[in-house]
Amino acid sequence: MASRSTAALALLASLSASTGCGSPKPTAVPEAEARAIALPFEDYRLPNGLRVVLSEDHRAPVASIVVTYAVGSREDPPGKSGLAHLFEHALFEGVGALTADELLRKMDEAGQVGMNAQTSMDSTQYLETVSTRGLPFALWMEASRMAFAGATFTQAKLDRVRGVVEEERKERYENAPYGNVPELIAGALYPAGHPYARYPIGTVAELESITVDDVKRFHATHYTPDTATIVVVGDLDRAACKRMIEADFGPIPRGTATPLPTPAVTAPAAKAQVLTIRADVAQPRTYLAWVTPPETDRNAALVGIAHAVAGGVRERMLGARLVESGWSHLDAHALGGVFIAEFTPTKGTSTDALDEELTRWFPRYRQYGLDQELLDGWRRHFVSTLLDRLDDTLQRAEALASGATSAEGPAQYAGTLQRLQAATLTDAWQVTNDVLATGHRVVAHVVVDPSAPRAGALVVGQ
Amino acid sequence: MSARERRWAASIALVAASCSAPFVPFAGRRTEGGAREVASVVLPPMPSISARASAASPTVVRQVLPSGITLCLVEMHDLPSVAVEALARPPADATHAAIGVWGASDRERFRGDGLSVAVGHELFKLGARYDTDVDHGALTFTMSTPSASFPRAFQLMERAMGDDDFNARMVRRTKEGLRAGHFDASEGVDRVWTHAAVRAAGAWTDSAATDRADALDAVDGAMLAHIQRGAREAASLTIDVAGDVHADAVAAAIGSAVAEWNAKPAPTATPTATPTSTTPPAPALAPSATRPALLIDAPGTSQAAVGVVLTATLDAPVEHVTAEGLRELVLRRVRHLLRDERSWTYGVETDENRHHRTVEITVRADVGTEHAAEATRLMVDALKGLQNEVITQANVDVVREAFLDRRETALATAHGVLAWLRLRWWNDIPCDAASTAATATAPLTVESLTALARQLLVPSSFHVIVVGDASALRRGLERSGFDVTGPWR
Repeated sequence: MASRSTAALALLASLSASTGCGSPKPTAVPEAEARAIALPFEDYRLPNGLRVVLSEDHRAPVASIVVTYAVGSREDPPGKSGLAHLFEHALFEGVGALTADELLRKMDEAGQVGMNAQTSMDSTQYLETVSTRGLPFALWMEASRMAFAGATFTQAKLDRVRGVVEEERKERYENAPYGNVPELIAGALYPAGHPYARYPIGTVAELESITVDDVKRFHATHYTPDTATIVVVGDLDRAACKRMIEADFGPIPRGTATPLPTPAVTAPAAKAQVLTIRADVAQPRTYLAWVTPPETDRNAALVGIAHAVAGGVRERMLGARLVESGWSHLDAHALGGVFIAEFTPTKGTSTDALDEELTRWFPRYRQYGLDQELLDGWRRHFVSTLLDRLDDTLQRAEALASGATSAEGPAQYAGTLQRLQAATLTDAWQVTNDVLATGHRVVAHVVVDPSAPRAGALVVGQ
Repeated sequence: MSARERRWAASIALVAASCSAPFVPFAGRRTEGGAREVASVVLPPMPSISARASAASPTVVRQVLPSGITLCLVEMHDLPSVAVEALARPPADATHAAIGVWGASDRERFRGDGLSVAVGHELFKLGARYDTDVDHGALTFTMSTPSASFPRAFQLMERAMGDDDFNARMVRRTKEGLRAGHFDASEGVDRVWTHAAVRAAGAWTDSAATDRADALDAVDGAMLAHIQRGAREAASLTIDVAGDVHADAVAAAIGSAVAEWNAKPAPTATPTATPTSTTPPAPALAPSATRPALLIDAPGTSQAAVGVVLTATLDAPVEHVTAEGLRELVLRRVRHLLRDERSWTYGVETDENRHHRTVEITVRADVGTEHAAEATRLMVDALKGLQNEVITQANVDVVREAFLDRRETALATAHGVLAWLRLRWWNDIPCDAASTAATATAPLTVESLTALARQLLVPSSFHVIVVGDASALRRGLERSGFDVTGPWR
C-alpha cells in the first residue's frame, strides 16, 4: 500500500510564485487564497489497485464521497450505446440484500443530503454527502455496489431502469426544443467512430437491445477496484476511515480489462463546416462551435477566456440589433472539448447577415479588450469561483476526484490554476487564436420548421 | 444525472419504517464475461448507523445601525471569501407587476453604458459577483467576493444598490424579454407548464402579474426606481454577511457605505392589487366539485408535463419549515408512485413559495404520453390522500430529519448561512435568536402539518394542468374522470 501525503505549503509556494516568462508578468494568487485552494489530502492505493484520496474538513459533521470508475460511454460495446449510463442507474436498484427502497431508506438514516451519479464519455461517478454518523454505511454501500451490483441484477431491475432512462432521453433530448443540436454539433466536430461524436444517453433501439447478461458483463469487466478511485472529504478520523476502506474494499479482486486505445481527434478543417437543422421551435438560432484542447492540456484554463470574447461579440451584435440574446458554453473532457457560442437573431435578421458579422468579429478578439486587464480579471474570476466551489465538501471531493484519474493526480485543479497564473497575455492571444480563429469550427443554423421535430433534425445530405 | 436528479435522489420514498430485518452479507461469485474469476467476496456486515449528534449553530452578531438598518454577521474563517445579502420588503404601493419587472431587470442593468455596467466591470476585476432578485416577495441583493477585496466590493455593491437609473431602453428590453418568454407552445413542455401555472393558476405571484399585458405596460422606469430607492429606505432592510471578515471591518465598511441610507418606518408588506387584465384570458379553472383539468396542446410531443398547482390563503402565517415539510411529503409520495414504482418519469419537480399568507406548492413530472392521463390521476389521488389521511409522527420524523440533514450541511458554507439567515428574516425571527435543531424544527408537528395539508390540499381548488399532444391525451384524461378544458393552444 503506497502512501503519499501532499502538503499545502508546497502548492502554496508554486501558486504564489511568479513563474511566467515573456511580458507582462503574471499576477500571484494572494497567499490566503492560495493556502485555502491547496487542499491537504492523502493519496494512496490498496493492494487491489483501488486509489484512495482522503481530505479532512472539520467545518461540519458531514462527509462527501465520490467514487469514480474509469468507464464512460466510450466503453459502450458496439450496438449497445447507452449501456454505461444505463448501468449508472442500475446502481440505485439496491445492493446485496437491500432493495432499492431499503437502500434509500438506509441512506436517509445515514443523513444523506445528496445522492447522485453522472456518466460522461470518459468516466462514471457516484456521489453522496452523508452525516459523519452515516459514513461507515455509505462506504460499505459503495463497496457492495462495486462487488455485487452485477451479480444481483435482474430482468425486473433492467426493465425499471430502462424505462427511466428512456424517459430521461425524451425529457432532455427528444422532447426538448433544440434538444438534438449539441449532439449533432459534436457529431460534426469529431469524426465518425470517435467516442465524443455521440452522447452517453444512447439510442432507444440500442437501449432496447441491452440484456441482463450485457449489464452483468459490463459490471464484471469495468467495475473493478483497479479502475476506480474513491475520494472522501469531510469530518473524518483519517485512520478510522482508512481501516473501513481497507475492510470494505480490500476483499474485492482486481479486474483484467484492457484499456481502450485513445482515438485520434480529427484534424482541423480548412473551412468551417455548416449544418442546417430543421426544428419546430419558436425562434431560429445560430451556433458556432470549436474543438478545444483536452482538460489536462496546459492551456485548458485559458480557453475559458473565450467566454469573454464571446461576450464582447454578443454586446456588439446586441448593439447592432442583430441578435436578441447570446450564450456560450465550454465542455472539457479527457481527449478534448467543445466551446459553443449560440445566438438568437432578431426578427428580420437574415442568417447570412448574422453569419457574416459573427465570422468577421470572432477572430478579432483583440478588439474586445483581450488585454492584460481582462486576463487579470479572468484570473480573479477563476480564483473566486474555485473558492466558492471549495466551500462545499462535495465539490471539494469532486475537484480532487476530477484529477485523480489524470496523470497530474488529485491536485490537478490547483495545477490548472497554477498554469493560468503563469500564462502571459501572449499565451492568451495564442490560445484564443488557435481555438477561435484557426481551430476546427462548425456553424449550425437552426431553421424554424413546424413539420420537423422540436429537438431538431439534420437536413438530409449533410 | 442532472441537478434535478440530485434533488430526486436527495430523499427517499415516504414509507418511514426502518429496515429491521437482520442483514445477511451477500457472498457473491462473479464469473460473467470472463473478465475475472472471483472465488468469493465477503464484505463485512452492514454497519449500524448511530444517532444524530447535536450540532452547533452559527454565532450571529446582530447590530442595528443608527439609520435603523439591521446588520447580521457570521464570521467563518476557513476560506478567504465573503458573501453578503441585503434583504428588503418592496414598497407598499409597488404593484406585483412592477416587482416582477424589477426582478427581471438585472440582466439589462448590466448591459450598455449605465452605472451598474461600470460597477459590474469593477466587481469582475476583483473576482466578485453581484446579483438582484425577487424571492418569496422579498427584494434581494447578493454579492460574494474574495475577502481581501471585501471593503472595495462592498462599496461597489452599495453603488449598485444606490443606482436608481432605470432608463427607457432598459425597461423596454426587460419587458420585451418577459413578453417573449411568457408563452410559446413550441417551448419545452415543462416551460409551457410553468407559464400555464402562472397564467391559469396565478402561481408565483410577481411573475404572474407580468403576464398581464396591461399590468406590464403600466410599469415604467419611475416605478422601478421607486422600488430600488424604497429598498434602501425600508426599515425592513437587513444586511447579512457571512465569511472571512471581522466585525470591526464589516462595521467600518458597511457603516460608512450605507450611513446615508435613511431607513423609514416599514411599509405594510402587502402590495396593491394588480390592475385588471385585458389580455385574452387563459381558460379559467374555477374551483369545482368535479375534477377540472386544463389541457394545453403541444402537438407531436412524446412526453407530457403533468402537474398540480396548490394554493391557499391562510388564516395565519405558516412557518417555512412546515411548508417545506409538506412539500417534501408531496414530493416523496408522487415520486414513489411515478418513478420508483412505475418508471414513468425521469424525475418529479416540486416548488414551495410563500407570499405573505399565501402559500403555494407546485408538483410536476414529465411523463411519456401513453402514461400521462393515468399519471395525472395518480398524482391527484395521492394529493387528495395526503389531505384525508392521518399524518403520522413517522411522517413528521422523516421530513424533520431530512430538514436537519440539509441544515447541518448548509451551515458549513457562507451561502448556506445566508440562506438560513434569509429564512429567519422571512419568519421575523431576530437573526441572533438562539437556534438549535430542536428550536428550528419545533414548528414542524403532526398538528401543523395536518392543518396546512387540510387548507392546501383541497381537491376542489386543485389546478390540474397537462401540456402535451392533446389529440393523444384528451380521451384518456376524460376516461380518468377529468373535466377537460381545452385544448388551449
